[in-house]
Amino acid sequence: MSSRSLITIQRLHKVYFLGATKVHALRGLNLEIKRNEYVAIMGPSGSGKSTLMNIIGCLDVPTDGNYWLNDQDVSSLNDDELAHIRNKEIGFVFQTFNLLPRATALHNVELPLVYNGTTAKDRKVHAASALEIVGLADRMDHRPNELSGGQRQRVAIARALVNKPSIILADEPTGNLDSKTGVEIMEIFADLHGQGNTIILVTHERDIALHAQRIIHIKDGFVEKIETVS
Amino acid sequence: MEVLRTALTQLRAHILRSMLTMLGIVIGISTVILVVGMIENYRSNIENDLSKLGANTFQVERYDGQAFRDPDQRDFRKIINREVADVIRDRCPSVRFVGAELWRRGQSISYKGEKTNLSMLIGGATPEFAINNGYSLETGRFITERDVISHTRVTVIGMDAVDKLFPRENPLGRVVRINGQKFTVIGVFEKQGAATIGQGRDNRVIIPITSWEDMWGKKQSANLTIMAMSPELFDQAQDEVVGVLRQERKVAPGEENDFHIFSNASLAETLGGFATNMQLYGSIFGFIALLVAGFGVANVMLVSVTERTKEIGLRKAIGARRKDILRQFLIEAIILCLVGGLIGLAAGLGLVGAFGDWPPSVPFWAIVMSMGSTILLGVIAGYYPAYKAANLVPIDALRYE
Ligand SMILES: Nc1ncnc2c1ncn2[C@@H]1O[C@H](COP(=O)(O)OP(=O)(O)OP(=O)(O)O)[C@@H](O)[C@H]1O
Ligand SMILES: [Mg+2]
Repeated sequence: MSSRSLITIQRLHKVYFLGATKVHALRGLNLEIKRNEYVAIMGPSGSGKSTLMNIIGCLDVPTDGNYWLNDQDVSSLNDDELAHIRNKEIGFVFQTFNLLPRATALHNVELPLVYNGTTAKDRKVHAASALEIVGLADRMDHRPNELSGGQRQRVAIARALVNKPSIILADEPTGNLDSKTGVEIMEIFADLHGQGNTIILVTHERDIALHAQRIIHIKDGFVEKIETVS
Repeated sequence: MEVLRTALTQLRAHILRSMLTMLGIVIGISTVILVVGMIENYRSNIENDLSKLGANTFQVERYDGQAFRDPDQRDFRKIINREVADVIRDRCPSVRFVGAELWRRGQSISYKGEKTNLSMLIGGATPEFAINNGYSLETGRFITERDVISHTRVTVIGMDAVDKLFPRENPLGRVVRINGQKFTVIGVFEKQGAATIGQGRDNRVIIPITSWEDMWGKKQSANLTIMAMSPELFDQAQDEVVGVLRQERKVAPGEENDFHIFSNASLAETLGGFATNMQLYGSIFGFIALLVAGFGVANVMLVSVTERTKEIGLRKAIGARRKDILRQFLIEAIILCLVGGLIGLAAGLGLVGAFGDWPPSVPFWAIVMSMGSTILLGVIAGYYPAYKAANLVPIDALRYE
């Protein structure tokens, strides 16, 4: 276990049980990611990319193997401690945005702050500045259905940012967007990386992956090869 | 506060569903408030009335109220002679005061051409009347032993007569006509107010019992009012009086009393028991309505949890703990119930006010209890759905379609 790494994953297994059939989504995967790295994950559909992201994001637990985040063995944590990590250490950006439909952009971005006891006043300030970072200062009072797909994804990125997490995880963040909007979103990630954030991003598009410093190719539940982008 | 905001948003977003769910609570709570409020009104009025009727007192009449309406029973009883009061006075050590009264209904009295309507009740009474019946005087004096002995033509009148005949004059010393005869007003009763049972008591016009007999003869049965020496001797006094009356009226052993004896205390007990029962049944009905409503609330919360599985997943994904989700759904259930409860409370108070006095007076305990039980209902009905929501695995909840 290297104490330099932000993320250390060893022999990770994930098995889904669907009635009698077992689906082996991860088969002994190893991975290390350092602080302030920008990493892209690529691989064919069903290769286990999302499964890996969910485990890294503490949304799911591995069947076997080890995962250290910030030198902390995640498997030893209880439910509340995991919730704390999801809140403080991780900002997750989903392919389908997952915004609360009835809440304004500002309120959506405030949400992570609600769960760590930030006062209402501070919540507003932080959420507003996160929205500013993603260029949505003028859309704070809009509800998701009043925003374009790209704008919704920016709200989601602002929500991922608002707690200043150690890692930003993005599972196909441009998957539901046209390529022009996708490029805009990628610029935001580039900026965030420039400001010192660690970013892990899943994508099917090589053009997108080339924004990262390393590309991790996954196949059948393990790392096939790691490519360093020059 | 954030949770509260979410809860209210949800309530508004599903306004029809929420209203239908709350209906049971509204009905339950408004019923309880209505019943409790009405009964409380009724009870306090009765207690008020009865406390006017001299404490510690019981009465003897020839017939009870029931028999009075049943002619089969009526004729064979002897009248109660007013002189029997003197015998009781002599022979019953536990009795403090004995009064005798003779009544004449549907009378009118007049003063200088002004006439009351025919609602006056003219009572021939002994001096014990006032204390035994709990009347106080506004001004003047009451009838004395001397008035009775010398058949004095004096009268003490109630507020109905005062209002009609002496709107701005002092009635004391004025001469009114009762049954065509002149009587001097020597006293005025304090205002008694409206009554819940029977008619009001402000229509009484009292004259010495002997003067009454001078006008209407000695054939009418008297009512006796008897006050015991002390509350402890109340039952004993009743026994003594029954004994004397049976002996005087020659009732053979084993035969039933040929007179009716009753006390305000027993009346109050009966009425109070009735009120308590009504309150109990009302509360049981309300409780059942709440119970049924509870299933509705639980159901709607389960539906809500299922509908919002994705939202729950998201909240967990960004750091909500189990207890945050649990609290959120519990509070939503409580708000749902409490809003229903408040509407029910308003409706109940409105109904109590509509049927009774405005502003409506409902005992504080009933309000606290009913609001408390809606909150409790929210907790109970909301707990399982909230627990279910809290224990969702984040990724499964997020993936839910
Ligand atoms: N909840 C689940 N239950 C059962 N099987 C699952 C579940 N989630 C994923 N799988 C299976 O695990 C394997 C890996 O799925 P995963 O979603 O990680 O793939 P992916 O690499 O993200 O694919 P895609 O590029 O299509 O998003 C697939 O075979 C999938 O069918
Ligand atoms: Mg995927």
